[in-house]
Parts: sequence; C-alpha cells; structure tokens
Amino acid sequence: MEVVQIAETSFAGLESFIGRYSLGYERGEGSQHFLRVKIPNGIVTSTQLRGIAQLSDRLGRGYAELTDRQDVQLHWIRDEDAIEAFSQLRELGFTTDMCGQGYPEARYGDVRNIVGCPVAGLARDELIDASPLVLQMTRFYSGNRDFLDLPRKFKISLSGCAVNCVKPEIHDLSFVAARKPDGEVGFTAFVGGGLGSPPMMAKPLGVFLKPSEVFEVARAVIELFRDHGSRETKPRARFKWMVEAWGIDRLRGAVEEKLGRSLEPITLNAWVSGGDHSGLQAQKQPGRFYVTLPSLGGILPSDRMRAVADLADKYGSGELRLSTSQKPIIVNIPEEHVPSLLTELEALGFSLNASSLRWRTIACAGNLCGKAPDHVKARALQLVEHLESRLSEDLKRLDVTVYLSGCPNGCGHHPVAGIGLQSIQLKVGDELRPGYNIYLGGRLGPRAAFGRLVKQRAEADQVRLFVEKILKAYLRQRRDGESFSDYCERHSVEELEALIEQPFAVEEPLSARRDAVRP
Amino acid sequence: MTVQKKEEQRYLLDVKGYVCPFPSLYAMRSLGELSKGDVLEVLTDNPASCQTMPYTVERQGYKVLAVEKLEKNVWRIVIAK
Repeated sequence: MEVVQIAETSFAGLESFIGRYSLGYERGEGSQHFLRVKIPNGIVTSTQLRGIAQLSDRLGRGYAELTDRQDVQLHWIRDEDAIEAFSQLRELGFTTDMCGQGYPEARYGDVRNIVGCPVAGLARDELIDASPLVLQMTRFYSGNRDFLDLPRKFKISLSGCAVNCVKPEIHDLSFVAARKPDGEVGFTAFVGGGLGSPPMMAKPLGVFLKPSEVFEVARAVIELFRDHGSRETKPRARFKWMVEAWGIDRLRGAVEEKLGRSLEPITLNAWVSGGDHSGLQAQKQPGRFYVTLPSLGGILPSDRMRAVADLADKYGSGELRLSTSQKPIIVNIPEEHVPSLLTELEALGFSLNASSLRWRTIACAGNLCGKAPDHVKARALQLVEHLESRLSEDLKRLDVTVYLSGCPNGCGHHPVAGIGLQSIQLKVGDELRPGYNIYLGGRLGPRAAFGRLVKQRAEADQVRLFVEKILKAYLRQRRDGESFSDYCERHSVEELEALIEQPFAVEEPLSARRDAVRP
Repeated sequence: MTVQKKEEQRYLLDVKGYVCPFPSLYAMRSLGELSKGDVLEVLTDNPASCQTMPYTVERQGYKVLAVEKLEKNVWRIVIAK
C-alpha cells in the first residue's frame, strides 16, 4: 500500500498534548465531551481560576463544576476546540484526566488527580502537610508514558488531615497520616478501595512510612498493578480486584521485594475519616482564617467562579482550595477582613448560616454524563431545600452526609453516605420515570460500612419525603451522642423501611420530643 | 502519523491507541490535506470516536459515509471530502 506522507505541519502541535490532555466522552444535555481539569491537592490561584472561567465562557457555555476529586469540570467542549483549551490549560499549569475509560478493553488507565486535604498546611489540627508529596507525585505521573497504560484508572489520596476528609477508604491507594506512640509522624497506607459496583473499602496495608518513603511505595504499588493487574475484562481490572485476589500479605510482600527492604509494621486501631472543613475556620497561622463555601453539588458557573476568585484577591492571599466535597475554599483571610468577606459571600448566595447539608451533600454530574435517569444535582438541591423548609434549625446541628449518584458507579459516593441515593429508571405503566434506591447508615473510619439498601425504586419526587421522615425519626429517637449511622445500625432494614414509610405524624416541636426520649 | 493511499482517491488513517479528541483532530487535519472527492477511512479502537467524530467532521463540511465495526474493538469511519 502506498504511503502518502501528510505534511508534518498538518499535525503540528498535537503530539505535545498527547498523554497529558484529553476530553472525556459523555452524552447528556447535548454535550459530547467534558474537560476535567486536574487541580492537584485542590490548590489553585485566583488567576488560574479566572483562566478556567474564561475557558468556560469561550468553549463551555459558561458552566463549570467542582468534582469530588478536586477537579474543575467543563462540558460541551468540541473536538475542534480542544487544542485551544489544552493550550490555555498548559499556560495555566494544568493537565486533564485521560479518558481511557472509553476503551472497551482493560487498558489506557491513568493516575487520576491525586487528592489531598484541601486545607493542607493551614488546618490547625493536621498531623502533617502532605501537599508537597501530592505535587511531587503529580509531576511524576503527568504524561509519564510508563504509567499511561494501566489496566484501569488509578485513584490516590494522600493526606495529613486529622479528620481524613479525603475518605481514604474509597481510593485504590491512600496514604493516611499516622503518629507512632513515640510521637513520630508519618503515613500508613490503605489499598483496594473503590465505589463502583460492587463497592469495596480499602484495607490497611499495615505499614508505617516515613514521608520520604511514600513516593517509592506508591510507585511500587502502581507498578505491581500495571504489571500484574488483570487485563482480561474491564470490570475486573480495577486494582481492588487485584487486592482481593492477592490479599494484603502478598501485596505487602511484593512491595517490599520491589523496594528491597522490609517496611515497618503498624496496626492502626483508630482513625477519623470522612470529616470536613465546613464554614469559617481558624488556620494554624495566627490571625488567619479560611472559609469553605456552601456550593451545593459543586456547581460554579463562570461568573460565580470569577466572583469567588475576586474575593480571594480582595480578602485573602489570592489563593483558593477545592475540597473533596465539591466546595471552593478561600484561604489566608486576615481576621479583620472576615466580617466584610462574609457579607459579600452572603450577597453572592454563599451564606454561612446555611444548613449543614449545604456542605455535606455531594451530587454527581449524571445529567451530563448521560448515565443517570435523573438530574442528580437538581434533585440534590430540591432535597436540601425541602429539608431546610421542614427541619429548619434542627438541620444546622445535624451531622449527616447526603450523597447522590446517578448510577451504580458511585461517582457521588452514595455507598458511604449516611443517606445515600442512587438514581435508577422506573417504569410506571408505559411511562419511564426517574427513581432512587435509598441506602442508609454508611460510614467511614474503623467501623466503615456501606449503607444498607432500605428502599428500592422510590419515585424521585417522593425521595425528599422519605429522607425527611428518617431524619425526623432520628432527631426524635437518637440517644445522647448517637450519630446517624449508629442510629441506623441499631435498627434492622425492616425497621428503617417502616420509619421512612410511616405516615407523617402530627407535627410537634422536635426539640421537645428529643428531650422526652433522652435517657 | 501517516496517511496511506489505498487506491485512487481513497486513503487510510490509523489512529488506534488515541483517545478523544485526537482521532477526530488527526482525521480533520488529514482531510484538510486531501482533495475534494477524496475518501478517508479512519481506523479507531476508541468507541467514543464513533459517536463524536461524525458530528465533528460534518460540522466542518465533510460527509460521513459509514461507521462500521471491523473486528472486535476496531471500528472504521469513512468520510468523504
């Protein structure tokens, strides 16, 4: 066959983006491609954020979302505009996720945005600032051709946060800060988590690592996955299946063999996980504060993105952070600027007097990815507004997570939520309607458990009523200090189902009834 | 990256191994070099390209003649300039 050499200039400029930039495929709301900008450790400047806002205005209809992996996601990006987008991102210092998931075979998996505590280096109670390690690892894996053909995507968290806001149990590989009895601070590792069906909790690898060992241990684990992970079928190619097949002891042994030395054993008996950094908080730096904005579902259109960036310049240091619960954080705010900032945030619709659910609700982008039968973020807003109107002040003190996913893949983390909602398609007569499966009692930490399926195939419009009933039951019946997940744990699925199915009782002041049942 | 001439006015572009948007971008740039009436066959193993490339090239004024599965996990998109 004759080879016709197309002029090199025709392809000029493409090669330099390959391996570092791609568009993801989606099919919702007329969008064919999303652009997922990786923000390592969620650390971003106001200038960078304005640059992304500009990109969104030019190519993405002015819409953007913050994801639960600290990315900024744009939609409606066209193939022919991709190079303009990639070029601008490169100037801003960012890369994107690779979209190898589009392949039908188990290959072209990449290391996804490495998540870390968004207030790393700022939080008063952190054990260690892990963000330099996150940035080091990001630099190593971005565009590194040795790690662009993993069996599947690979998700890492690395955090020194005291409340482990990054949810270490749900990633392929997590590094969690740990303090030894002698006071030395380092990390321990968790392996094999993932929320796609079937969800699995990461398991402790049982080692103590000095900070200087984290990079090489991560590399060893990823190389083992690359070289030994199953490539037979795509669903079985995620790292969690390799961990299941190998077991912890074999995996730890293989890591040690690669390193040529034994790792220090450690048993972690207690850790906090899945906490958050809501609202206004004092930093470890005297006289400085950070504020996490209640952006429900992470929706941050370009005009609001720009406004938030401007506030970071005006009242902070021009730096922002993105949380793993889809929230922007303005940091380094001098104490004297706090009142003015809060007033401006209020005017922007980010009132800090909002209910706790504004910070503790996560919702996926299922309306755009096309896999969800419902508009999950809109449903989340409907649900939260409903609960706010029905539960008002009680909601402010409530420590319950509500996570919504559009499909079993669990991008909205629904399996580990106190109240987890997964969208499904219902057929009512000849009509297709959105519905939800309702899971209750999920939790992280030493007693990590997935939520139990309490109600199947609830009509989407009814979900808010079911959730209202279970929260009211909890508020009335909880024991002193009892968390929502503890409350769910002491009830059977049948009892919980009865609670959410019960008819609404004549309203009584919740506080009075709660007092009445206190021992 | 090369484009092979299969026969008179018929060319082949193999972009297997490339993820979005690169199959579409290579196809568009190749079409830009061909003459009116030429046909370009694009081979891809990225199923998303079967969905998106037809829209992309038709926006540029080209005509998609076929999208067909050649073998397991390989598709051919045939485009006329």
